[in-house]
This record gives sequence, C-alpha cells and structure tokens, in this order.
Amino acid sequence: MTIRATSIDYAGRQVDVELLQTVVDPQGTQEVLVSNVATQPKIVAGVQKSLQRYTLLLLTSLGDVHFALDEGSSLMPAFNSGQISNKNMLQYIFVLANTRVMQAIRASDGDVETFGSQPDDEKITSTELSAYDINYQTGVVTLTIKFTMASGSAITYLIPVATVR
Amino acid sequence: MSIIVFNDLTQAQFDSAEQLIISKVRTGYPQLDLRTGTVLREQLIRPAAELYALDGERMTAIAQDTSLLELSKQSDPDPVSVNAVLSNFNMTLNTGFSATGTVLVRVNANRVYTLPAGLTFSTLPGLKYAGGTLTRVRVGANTSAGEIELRTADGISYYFLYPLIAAAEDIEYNIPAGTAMDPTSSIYGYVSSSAYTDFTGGLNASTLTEAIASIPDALTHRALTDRNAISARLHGEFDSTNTVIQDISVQGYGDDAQLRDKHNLMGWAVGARVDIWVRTFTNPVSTTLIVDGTWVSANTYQLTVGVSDAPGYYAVRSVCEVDSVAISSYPVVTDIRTVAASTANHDIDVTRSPTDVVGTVYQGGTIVVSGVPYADSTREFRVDLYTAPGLASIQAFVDDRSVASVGSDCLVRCPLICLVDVSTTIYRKSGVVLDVTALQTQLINYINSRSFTQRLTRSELANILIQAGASRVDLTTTGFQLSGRLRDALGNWLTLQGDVLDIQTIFNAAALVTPQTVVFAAIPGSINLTVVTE
Repeated sequence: MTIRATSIDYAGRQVDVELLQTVVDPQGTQEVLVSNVATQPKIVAGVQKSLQRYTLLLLTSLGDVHFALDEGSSLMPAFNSGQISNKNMLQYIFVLANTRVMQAIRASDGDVETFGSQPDDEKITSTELSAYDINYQTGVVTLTIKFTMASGSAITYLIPVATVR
Repeated sequence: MSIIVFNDLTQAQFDSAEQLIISKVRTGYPQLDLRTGTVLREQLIRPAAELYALDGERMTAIAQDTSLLELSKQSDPDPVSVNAVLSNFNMTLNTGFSATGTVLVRVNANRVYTLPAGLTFSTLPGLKYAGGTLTRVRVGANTSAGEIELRTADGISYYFLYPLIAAAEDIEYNIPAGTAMDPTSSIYGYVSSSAYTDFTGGLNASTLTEAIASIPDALTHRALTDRNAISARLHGEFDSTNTVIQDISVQGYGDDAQLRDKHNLMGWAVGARVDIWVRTFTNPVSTTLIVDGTWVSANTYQLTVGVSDAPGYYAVRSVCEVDSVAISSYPVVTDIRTVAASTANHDIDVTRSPTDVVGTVYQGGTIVVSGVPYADSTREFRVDLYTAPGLASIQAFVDDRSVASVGSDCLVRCPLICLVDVSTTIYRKSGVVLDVTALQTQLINYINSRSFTQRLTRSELANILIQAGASRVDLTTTGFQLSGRLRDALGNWLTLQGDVLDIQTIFNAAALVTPQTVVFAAIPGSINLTVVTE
C-alpha cells in the first residue's frame, strides 16, 4: 500500500485539533505520543484524524465523561483494576473494547444530517489487533492495531498543519 | 435562593444545550468535525454545553425568583425571595400570628398552685395552647410579680384565669369562649377547664397569591385623601400585623352616614370630616372584662367600661357572673355611650349629633343590668363586649402627624354588626352524605364575608347548601328562617327577617344605619340545619 503524504488536500475536509504527535512520514509503524496541543496547535484530517478519534475513545474509561457515561471503553478500567493478567485476557478485553468503540464511531458517522458525510479514507471499516505485548517489569502494554479504511489502498495522508484551511 | 451547580443539571438539559451548540457551530463552521470522539467534540463542545446548560438554569432560577407569578406557582416558595421582590412594592409577607386568650381552670381547694412553664391545654380536636413562665396561683396573689389570683364565688369552689397562646400561627386556633380545654399534664386539685374568653388574633401566614392581589393597594398613593388611598394606606400599614383589615367603608362629604360635618346652625355639610368604618374581624370578636359593678337598686347594678377597656366596642354581648363561661346574660337595661377621653384632634360633638362618639376609641360606656340575685354594694361581673380588634392602633396611626390628612378629620369606627341567625331544613338523596358541621361553617364564613353590602338573601345561602350537595332547600317561610338584629348608634336594637335582610329597609342616617356602616356577621351556634333524607 502506498501512502502519499501531503499537506495541501484539506479542501472539503472536516478538520479536528491534533491530539497525538505529528507524524510527518506515515510510512511504517509509528509510535504516537500526546503532542503539545496548547503550545503548537495543529489541525488534522484524513487518516490521522480517524486514528486519533479511535485512540481517544479506546483510551477513555467508561463512566468517566459526565453526561456521556457510555462513552469510552473498558480497556483502561481493566488495566487499572489488574484484570489483565496475561496476553489472552488482554486480547479478550481488547476485542470487547474495540467493538464498543467501533459501534460508537459508526453511530456518530451515521448521523450525516448533523455532522455531514465523510470521505472513504476517513472511514474505518475494520480493525485488527496484529500484535500485543506486556512488559511486566516496566508495566507497559504495547498494542499494534491494523486499521482498514473504506478507501482500501488509496489513502492520502494529510500532514497536520498549523492553520485552518 | 439556592445556587445551582453542575450536579443539579440533568442529562436532558445537557443534551439540549449540546445539540444547540453543535447546530450553531456547524452552521458557522461546517469544516469542523464534531463527531463523537473528536478533540473538538470532547474538549470544546462538551464543556461549552455544560456551561451553557448551567447558565441557562441559573438564569431561569433568577427569573423565577424575581417574578411573583413564577414564585406563586411553586409549592413552597422561598420566603426570602418573596420578600425580596415584595420590598420593591414596599410590602412584606405576613408571617402569621398565634391566637391568644384566657382559660378558666377550676380547682378543688384553697391552696397554692404552681403551674410549670409552658403548661399546655388542648381542645378536643387537638388544638394546643401553652402558658408562659413558671407561675404561682394563690389567694392574695402578688400580680405585679406575675402571680395569678385564685378566685372563689362561694368559698367552696375555686378557679383562676390563665392566659394562653396558641401553639401555631393558624386561624383555626381562634375558638369561642366556652370551648372545652383540658391540660395535657396533671394539675394538683384540677376539676375542669374551658376557654374563658374568645381566643382571637390567630392568623395564617399570607399566601403569595394574597400578596400579589394587594400590590395595587401598595402602589396607590398613600395620602388619606380618597377611598382608595385610605384603604391602601391602612392595608399597607396593618397587613403585616395581627390587625386584619377585612373591609373598609369611608364616609365623607355628602355621604349619608357623615353627620360630623353638619355641626353648624343650618345643618349643612361642610366636608373635612371622614369616618372610616373598619371591619377587623371575620367572626364577631368579643372582649372579656372583669368589671366592678355598683348596686343602684334592687337586683340592679351599674357597670362602667373605660375608654381603654374595649376601644370602640359595638354592643354588649353578655353580662354574667365572673366564673360563668356560658353565653348567658343578665338583662341589659341600658348601654349608654359617652365621650370618655379628650377628642382635641377630632370634631366630636354629642350635643349636636349623639352618635358622634359611638364606635370610636373615645367612647366609654355605662351599662345597667337587672335580675342580679345579690345585694352587695359592689360586685364583680364578667362583661363580654363585641369589639373590632386593633381599632385603637388604627386610630393612632391615622392621627400620626406624619400620616394624618392636613385637610380632614379622620375618625375610625367599629361597624354596626347585623348578627344573623339561620334556621332551615335541607334535603339529601339517600346515599349522599352531608357534613352538617361543614355546612354550618360554610354559611358562617359566607355571612362573615359580607361587609358594607346592602343585602343578604336566603337564595345566596340556599345556593351554598345546594352546591355543597343538598338536593333541595326548604324555602318556605317557615322552612327557611333568616333573621338579623343590630344595634343602631342611638342604642336601639333593630330586627330584620324574611327572604332578604335589606339594610335599606331600616335606613336611618341619624342613627348611622346605612348599607355603608353595617356588616353582616354570624357566630357559631347561630346556624341551625335540619337534614332530611328523601
């Protein structure tokens, strides 16, 4: 799959504020971190926006958001309660959390009248937990998730930019 | 007014605010992605929606707390908020008053009785009344030290009079003299007790609806120059007190019952005299006095009522022995009113119009009773007089230099009371339950609401009975007997009876009997209903 990076194709796109670290070169596996939203705000669209949205919902604990108690997933509460004791349990919990997140995304995306339509390269059709690891010494859990977009292989990756188009 | 915080918001309020903000932002900035999970939605829209919903609810609460109409819709409006709004109209909400009176307690021996602080008496329905501080009762009591005199009429049975105050601020605590009352804790030597005087002055807190209705009066200009202004001024001053002004009739220049402005050779009206007839009671109220009577002839005694004993009293209700609580009376031979106090500020000339002082706070009374089976040179009597509570306070208010009209002489008077009796037969269908006591109360309340109106008719009263569930009312002459009696200002008792009690039929301006000076009233026991099942 070839991903062509560009910063010019924001026309007609709905944008969001960048939350994860700017990925200039989208080739290969990328490690993402929370970016400096307050000091260097950027807008995102396209794949990064969708992945960012997925990540935010996955890592939000169910019941944490006032007036949206059913938003989020059970992944972080499972980690915090010590429920995940092995890789099999991690995979099981991820499946449950992923299902919930995808349902939320699709429900919101379906409200075209309120939020407008999306281009295919922003629509996540499926996800797959391709790799996962637990470092018991550092307490770090690593998840590698493969996203399949509705556009298939023709993805235009939009580099986050500092100005609104 | 309680402070609304985030936790007070509901899901529906938040959802409504969020939808509104999303709609507004999407309209102005359609390129912003506000779907669930986006940073804009979670970090911008959601907090904004919470703040918007909170502000909206606070604004609604402020609007409600500053609107008397909205406050009146609440089941229990905050009195602080209510008074804050009413203060804009120079008003406050009446918080209610407790009824007060005296109980006669009979005991079995001459000894010293110690009444504990707060000794409570209760009526049969459970209305409670409490006494004051620790009190001693004995013969030869030191009344200046708060002791109560232990009395006896025959040296065998003893009694004392103990003042009480109602446990709650409610009009239902106004009970008539003679009502049975029992102590809730034991009194050594106790025999029996009952209300010695009418318990009066009990008043419920004003409702917000009543306060709203009185705002026009509060906004009226406050000089004592016309009927509306006089009414507004008196209501504004006394509505927050336990002097309840039920109705006012003002007689001034050109009015039939204004005689004081005719004190001239030609008898022409010259104005500048205003008589304010004030009904300050719903049920007729009587003031109970213990008065020394002087023997004048066989079985006849003369009693004097001082100017401050029962200001402006209307008529004698009864004169009997001190320890009597029954509404029985020695025959009243005469009840003569005199000017008993300085009237420097008012034109009261009984040589020109004998009625000038009647019903005013400047009158005293000399009462002669007969049929007394004793020959003591002096003897104490219990005297009950129909009065208008608060008359002295009202007169003092209109005489205040800061209030008094500089162009008129305003004199406050107790109205002439037409005491009504009703006796009728009502019919009910089989299976229909009629509460006779409730019907009597309804009729009494209706009659007592009729002030300064010319007529009271049988059909008005019959309609009340029909509305309450009676299938029909016997309106034959003998089946429904309506009668009334009133004492005119010259001391004559007049009787009305028939289908209509029409004051105009006994109109006599010289005796101050006009529709504008007479109020209708009924006391418990004056309504007799016979229920027949059809």
